[in-house]
Amino acid sequence: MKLPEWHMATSREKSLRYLRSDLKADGVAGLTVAVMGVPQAMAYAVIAELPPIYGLYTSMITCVVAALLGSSSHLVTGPTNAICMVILSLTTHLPEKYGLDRFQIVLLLTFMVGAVQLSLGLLRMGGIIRYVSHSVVIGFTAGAGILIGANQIKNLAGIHLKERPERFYEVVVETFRHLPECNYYALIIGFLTIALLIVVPRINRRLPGAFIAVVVTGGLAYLMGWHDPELGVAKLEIVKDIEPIKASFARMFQLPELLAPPPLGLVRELGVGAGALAILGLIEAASIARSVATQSRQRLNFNKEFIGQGAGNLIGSFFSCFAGSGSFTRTAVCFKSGGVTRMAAIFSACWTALTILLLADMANYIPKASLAGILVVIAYTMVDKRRLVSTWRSSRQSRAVLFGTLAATLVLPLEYAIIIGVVLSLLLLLHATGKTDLTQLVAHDGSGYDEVPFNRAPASEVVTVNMEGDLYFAAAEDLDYEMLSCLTPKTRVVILRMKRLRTVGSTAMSMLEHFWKILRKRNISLVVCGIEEELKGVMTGSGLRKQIGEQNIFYADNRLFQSTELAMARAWSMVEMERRRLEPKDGAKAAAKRDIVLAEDILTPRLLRFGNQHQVREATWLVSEMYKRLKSRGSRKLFLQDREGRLYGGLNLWDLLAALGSELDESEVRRMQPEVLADKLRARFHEPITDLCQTDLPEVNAHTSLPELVRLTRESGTQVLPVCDEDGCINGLVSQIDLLKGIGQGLGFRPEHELPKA
Amino acid sequence: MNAKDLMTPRFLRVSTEHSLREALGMVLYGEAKGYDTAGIVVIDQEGDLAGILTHAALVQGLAGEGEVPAEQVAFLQSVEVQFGKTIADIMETEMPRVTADTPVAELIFLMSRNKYECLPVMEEARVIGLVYVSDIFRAAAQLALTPETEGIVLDG
Repeated sequence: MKLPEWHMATSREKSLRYLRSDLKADGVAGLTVAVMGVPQAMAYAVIAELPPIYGLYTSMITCVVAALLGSSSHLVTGPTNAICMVILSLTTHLPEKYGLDRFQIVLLLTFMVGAVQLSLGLLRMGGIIRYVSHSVVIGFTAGAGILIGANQIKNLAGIHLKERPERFYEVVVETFRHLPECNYYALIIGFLTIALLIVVPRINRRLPGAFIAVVVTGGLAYLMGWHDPELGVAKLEIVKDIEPIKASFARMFQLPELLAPPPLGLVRELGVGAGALAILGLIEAASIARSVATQSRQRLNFNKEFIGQGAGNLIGSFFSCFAGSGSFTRTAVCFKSGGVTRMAAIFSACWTALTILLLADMANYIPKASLAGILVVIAYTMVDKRRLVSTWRSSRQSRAVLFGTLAATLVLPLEYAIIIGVVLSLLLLLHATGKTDLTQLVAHDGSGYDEVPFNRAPASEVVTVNMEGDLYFAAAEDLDYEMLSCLTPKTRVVILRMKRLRTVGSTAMSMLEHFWKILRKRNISLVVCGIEEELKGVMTGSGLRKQIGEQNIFYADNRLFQSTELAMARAWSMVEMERRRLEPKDGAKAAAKRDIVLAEDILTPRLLRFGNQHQVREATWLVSEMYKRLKSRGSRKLFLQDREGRLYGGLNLWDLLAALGSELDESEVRRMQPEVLADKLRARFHEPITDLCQTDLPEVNAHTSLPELVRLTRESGTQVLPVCDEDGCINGLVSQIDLLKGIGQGLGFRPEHELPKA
Repeated sequence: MNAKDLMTPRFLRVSTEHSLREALGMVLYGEAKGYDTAGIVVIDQEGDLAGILTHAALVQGLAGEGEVPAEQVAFLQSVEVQFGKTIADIMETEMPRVTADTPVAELIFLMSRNKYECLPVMEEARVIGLVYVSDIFRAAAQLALTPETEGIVLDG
């Protein structure tokens, strides 16, 4: 048994190395997190309207369990703002209804959340987190931020509402109605806290603002005696008044009373909320862990992370903890202050425990208004203005998800807001992935292909359709009919390129079979390429492979376009064979005729037309505008037409320059003021262009042969030949490069093989 | 504004000794790859400017001196005969040479009197860039056009 020994040796070595190097870093990072986290945890408990001590328990027990069992090395788990808001929303009205202690209900809820999360992790469903859009998190956090902010105004102003209203806006209304009853001590402490939280980080970013704020405000209140119970209604509410923090953990462990046996009605009522809360916790934890992992280069296992979170909450519910999750601020602080391993999070829990033991008496004097001030500032940062704006500008879909979630958060019970956000983002996902994009490939002269939008390729015997994206079963048949729209009377062969299509074999199979049948009725051949292994198997089984014919099927190859190239060659050879079959008598003549290059094969269809009634100035402006949109620097020509649209003449750059430069004199061009030059250039601006243009252009039509085109350009000295139809209207041009391309085409020239040798 | 502001410092180069077959290969390949092939600088053995190869010059060179055969087969055969010629035989050599500080007025003057696809911008015997007719036209249009004179008046 050598293996275990070897393991022991390495693990001992590992721990020694850890003690030597990383221990100190983790200890310091843990302390930094605790200093920041203690006031935060107490404040978050205030969000859920629970005694602050439970927030501290959560940032100890849940934190340690999640750190030990989770996947991320830097994630710090504990109370979080959004989750506390949901806990409040879920449990406010249940105690009256069931006559139970609210904290016991919270513990039951926490147990249920942990159980859901743990089962998701054990069932290996960690991957589902990938399908929830980040917009949901941003939207929900922003909504929760607004709720928290609005909810804390009453604590900030020291107002006591006798009955907690059900709806969020009612809380706001009630708060403002009771505003005259506000407690001035609370207001002073609250605003002082906010001011400190804004000012302290500006002095030094590393100072723990919240910690300083609670120490300063707590000290002030204590010294001034504002907490004195003798003040009666005017007294400042402090932590001690909610529930005193004791410097012991004697009461921490307690079996949740409601677990044995749980009241079924309550469990049913909490069910939806627990599920939503579990998912929210997982989304938060996963997205925070992911954003840290991108910096630390750690590879995350979301199943393990789910198990860590679930176990944290499940075990936490036996230690007076409420539901928690990954905390963004504490995780970021832990990572930035040098935390190396998960021990940093565990250290933060130890430091927190130490704080309770040593500073419990002082913590009791922290004013509630001070915690409310911390929460108002946190609430403000939760509304991520920058992200909201950038998401708003990104796409219509993510806008819908983001603001749908945000609006739902503000008006619906929070558990439903979470569900709506998740559903919205899944719908968005289906919308984005459930589409098959079609494009066409057009071979260009040399080698290689251009991808053009569907239905935009020139009519050809061979139509190549490139399929991309996802193909779902329900859409397969519609897609067939859509693909048919690219067929022209000329089409003889259709190539389907399926390499980039994500689908299951049977769906692709049924689409192919249907498409093949339609094409066969029209006497058009089908060639398929980029066929993956799975589809190959299904096609063999169903006999479609035989029907299409093995010679017409090309399998996916790792080389880009390899199978497409072969498919195209096959398609053209089929076109060829059919032509020969149609002209069986004079095979040689047919072959010769086929290679004849005509004007229509090489012409450029895009050209610049202009009415002949215009002036030099307008033509100058038009051509200069055209050049602003052109990348190439070659000379172009403007073709003039009369009012009936018939070709009148041609105007090239030299004709225009001859008019513009006619007043220039050789002796003066070397030193000429720009204004003088501009004036001289404008001298013939208002002459009609008909005076400048060439009108004796050679007559060329679509069927003019290549040698004839070359002869005409040489004899007329015209570099750009206009191609006209029977009515004399211009519908294309043949330039010198088009002629060169025609010569290359006629010779079967492969430019890449003919390049100059050094 | 002078030649330095208008010129394109990147251009294709070819040697005088290459055949027309290679010239055609270069033009068609360059065109497919999206390079500017309208003016290709021809250099001699020292790397100095020998001439400019344009599309029109190449078409004329491939068409040959005599009458162009009417049948495509015969025409292409004559083209293959011409393939043996070198670029030195067909390149343009008569165009004016300019320098980086040649003023735009002079460039416009040169182009308004003769048809050149482009002018080589020289630094001693070497080419440092090309000024295309389209560059010179654009510069002229920019100088001549004012906001009031832009646009098109449509009558009737």
